[in-house]
Amino acid sequence: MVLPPFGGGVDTYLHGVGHTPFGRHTARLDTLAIEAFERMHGEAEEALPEPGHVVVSSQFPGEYGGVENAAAAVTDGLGLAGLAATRVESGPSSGLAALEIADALIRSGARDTVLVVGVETMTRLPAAMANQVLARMATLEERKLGLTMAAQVALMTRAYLEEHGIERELLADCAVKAHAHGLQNPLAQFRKAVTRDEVLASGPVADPLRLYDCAPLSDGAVCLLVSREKGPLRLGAMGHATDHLSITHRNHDARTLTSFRATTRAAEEAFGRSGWSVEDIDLIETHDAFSLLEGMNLEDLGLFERGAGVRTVAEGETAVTGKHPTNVGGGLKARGHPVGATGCAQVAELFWQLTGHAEVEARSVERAQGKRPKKALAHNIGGLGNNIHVALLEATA
Amino acid sequence: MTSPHMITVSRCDDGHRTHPVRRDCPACGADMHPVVIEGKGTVITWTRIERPPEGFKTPQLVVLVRLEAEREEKDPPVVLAAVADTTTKVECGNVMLIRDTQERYEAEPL
Ligand SMILES: [Zn+2]
Repeated sequence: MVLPPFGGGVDTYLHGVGHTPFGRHTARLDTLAIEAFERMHGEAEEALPEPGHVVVSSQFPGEYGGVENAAAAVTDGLGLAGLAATRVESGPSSGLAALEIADALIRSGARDTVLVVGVETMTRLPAAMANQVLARMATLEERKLGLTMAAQVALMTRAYLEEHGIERELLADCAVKAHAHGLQNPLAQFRKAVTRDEVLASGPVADPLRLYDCAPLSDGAVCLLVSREKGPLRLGAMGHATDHLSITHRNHDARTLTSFRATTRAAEEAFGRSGWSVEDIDLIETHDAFSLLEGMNLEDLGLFERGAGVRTVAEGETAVTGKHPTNVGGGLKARGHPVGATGCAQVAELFWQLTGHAEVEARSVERAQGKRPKKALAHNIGGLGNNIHVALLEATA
Repeated sequence: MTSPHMITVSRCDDGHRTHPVRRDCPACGADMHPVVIEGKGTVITWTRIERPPEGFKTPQLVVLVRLEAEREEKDPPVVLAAVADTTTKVECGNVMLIRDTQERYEAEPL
């Protein structure tokens, strides 16, 4: 698929990132955003361009963070009152949704520079309440059954294991791999190695998923500064697609339970606009909120054959030293998953890795692979695969 | 037609069917209209939820059932349903009957 470029020759570049530790914070939503903003300025080597617009990604600022009117609250907190400010959400893919809007503002000529702020505080509510809020992303009929996001992915996980004849232990190995990467990320929520047996012995959540198969509830904030001025990373293209809210309405698709076709559509759009293909990608950040997803997503993105994803991840091919390094910061599973900030954290990891930044010294892909990655892909899922973004990034140096 | 295991699904003129009822056909985009069919089919996946959301008892048992195709060949609808007796042993391939309790869809082994 070849798609026309858009933007009339204008390109969008990433100039800087700031990332709070992910985990449990007592700070308010707007305070976390300030910390990420200060970190971004603190680690910038040159003066950053001044934004003309703030795009805030936060999925549940009111329910989780007690803050409504979040765009103005965050913008004023950052000392940027006066600028245009907008909040966007597309479920847990809100972070890349914010980047998509920022990119469109820049390519349209409306703004020269845009600050993206992804922020979420999820740990104040008891877990059952937090999961009830997350479950509102599903249809009413599904919610009446007590289905959580974990339960919906559990349904897919069982179908994947049965369809492809995969042993459950391999899913545990995917979680082990994520934790091994998280161990090397000082900002990650989980900085501890786990074993296959520990994953298999962790508490049941929704059969066959156990606690260590699932990303945690997290607090955190990440800032990204993007501009039409040339910077260290170019945003090659983005792709975005939705699907029916309920998996039962995808019943005409034979792969309903073992893939997210919105991933494939979003990737096709991004590749079509950029002229790149999946073979060009040196480094991937993908939305592994559950142990099935890293492998399944990499199938949907076209990197692995159907049914090969989970096994390939379990065998180490996506480790920092592997053929296709993926989620080298620990992924959602180990880095943590403050939903509105996750897509921005993916982009921050890619920024550091593609610019050879000291932040990622302990998990440097450049060192592990013998050469610095040049092209990278971020993949961010909203809901049960029903609002999905893909971003392609390229080092300009 | 007095069986309690009759449920309403949506059907388009091209024969696609889906559940729950909706206006447009997910397969072809045509208008859909409600039809009542027997809620009998095969479990294609299931989960026992040990950490349900606030307001639900632990555990919850949920099955995804592919309804029998009857005489129509196209894409039999799939239905998500709770199994009220959560001690029920469920496996993929089990045949279940589904009814609409007005509160939710419930499945029980045939
Ligand atoms: Zn149709």
